[in-house]
Amino acid sequence: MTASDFTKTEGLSASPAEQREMLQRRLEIDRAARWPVGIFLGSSILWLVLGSLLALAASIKMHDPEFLANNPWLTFGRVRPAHLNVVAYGWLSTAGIGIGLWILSRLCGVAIEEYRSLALAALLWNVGNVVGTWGILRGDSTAVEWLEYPTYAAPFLLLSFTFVMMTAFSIMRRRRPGHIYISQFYIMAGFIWLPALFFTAHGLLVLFPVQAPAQPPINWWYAHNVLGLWFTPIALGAVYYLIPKIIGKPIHSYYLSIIGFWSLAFFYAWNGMHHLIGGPYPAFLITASVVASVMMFIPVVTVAINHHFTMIGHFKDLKYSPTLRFVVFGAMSYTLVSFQGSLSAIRELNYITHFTHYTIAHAHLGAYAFASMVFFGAIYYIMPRLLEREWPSRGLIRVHFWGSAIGITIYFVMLSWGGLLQGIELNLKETPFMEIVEATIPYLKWRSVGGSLMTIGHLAFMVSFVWMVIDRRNRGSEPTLFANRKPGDTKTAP
Amino acid sequence: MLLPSFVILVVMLTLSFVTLLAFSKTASSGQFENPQEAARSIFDADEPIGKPTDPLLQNPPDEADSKI
Repeated sequence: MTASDFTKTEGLSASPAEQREMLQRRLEIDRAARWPVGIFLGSSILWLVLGSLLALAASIKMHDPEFLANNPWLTFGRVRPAHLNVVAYGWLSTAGIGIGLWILSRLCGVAIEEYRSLALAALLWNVGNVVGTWGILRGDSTAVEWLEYPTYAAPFLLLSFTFVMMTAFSIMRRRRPGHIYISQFYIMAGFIWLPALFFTAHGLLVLFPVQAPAQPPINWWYAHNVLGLWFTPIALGAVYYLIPKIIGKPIHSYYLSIIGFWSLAFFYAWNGMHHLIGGPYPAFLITASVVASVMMFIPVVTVAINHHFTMIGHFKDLKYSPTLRFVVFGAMSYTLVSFQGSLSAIRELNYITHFTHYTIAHAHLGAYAFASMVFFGAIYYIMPRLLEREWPSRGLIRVHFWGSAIGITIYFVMLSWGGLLQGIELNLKETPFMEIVEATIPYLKWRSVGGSLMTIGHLAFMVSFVWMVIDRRNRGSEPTLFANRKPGDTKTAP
Repeated sequence: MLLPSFVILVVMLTLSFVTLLAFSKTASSGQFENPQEAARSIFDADEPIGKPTDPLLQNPPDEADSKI
């Protein structure tokens, strides 16, 4: 069978006329999404590269404090929060919006009608990020972790997200009749949860700051929920869409996916307080959070069973599909980071790992090895469909994947190990503090090595993206676009 | 402490209520029935179920060339 025979594959329930109509509808959906979603995805990659450079600077400063120390804009206290916010709002959120809207549009079977307001939203979102990053680097940080962007950046972000939500609701309202697929639940939930979280936390911590003792619980309620109720639902929605689509096999158990989604929806919001174990807060608050964290085993196990059992018999396909490779890496990391998170919330382990580099490694396992890798895979899947052209170079995709995969593995393993040793030592009263600090330096250097590899991968990704956008030649033989279209063929990929 | 607790409580209760409402509406509209069909709803009628939708996965034109 050749690629051009694709629509003649056995087992199809549609007539040739219906097949043409469906291909045409997907083409219209992708063309309507081309500009707004393309701007979100393209700009997210620029933020990814900037965030990586800021991360590298912060990482090197941890073992070489003199590095870039003479410029006040590049001191650790500014570079580190700039990195965090750039990757959270510039990279992950920007990519998440683009990916979420495109998948929603495809699953609902309707084109984005609000492409002008959505393009404006993309512009506003990026202005908000530019203003926020500039504000942090010039010394205007709010000093509230995960919300360091100064107050004057928030209106851009909130206004932009209002347009995004209006588009998402419009797509859902116009959806074709029938089942709402689990990815639609996850993505819509993410689009509703983020503004609620941001509005509440920004209001209580930045605009009208409450008394100091009340701030950390709100802060960690927000920071943890951004991961679990924004990045996670968008990424899981993408995984539930991409794996079945690529391998042509429905998910292993739809029942489990329903249990997974609703248990996340009902229990996740309680998780954040486990960051305050040992703090001066009511015991019930912390204990409820520890219990909720352990209960996260339920959604995680359901998702893990679904993702991994769906892939059984198809692992050989990882050799040929870049999307599948990134997404499966991300799905496996989700299982790992979630199990680790639940266990880390248990007091006995938390007493050792709290305030150590172990927590940083855990955060990167979630935000990078899981969410970012899934988003990379999704972008590899979406862009050829938006632009109707192939990725230009397998070599660059290879550099991106291996740079990211090896980089995050080094980062996670070395920093987790160093953090555990650091935590054990910190609990021994007789060890001088400076000795503990010095003992972490080799692990911090390994972190910079891992971060450098990831940055190389991101640069390859950016070059690949820019090359793809400016190169208009048809590249029908590459692996990422499914249909080998002939010149003049109007078919889009499935 | 009273104002933040109140605001957070209102947001949490609202979100919980919306979540419960969404859950109830989802259940009553039959979304939890026939999971087989729901799992297959991701595929359009012109997409073959049971076969990879990527011809390069099914039948790579040149195995050495198509590996990434």
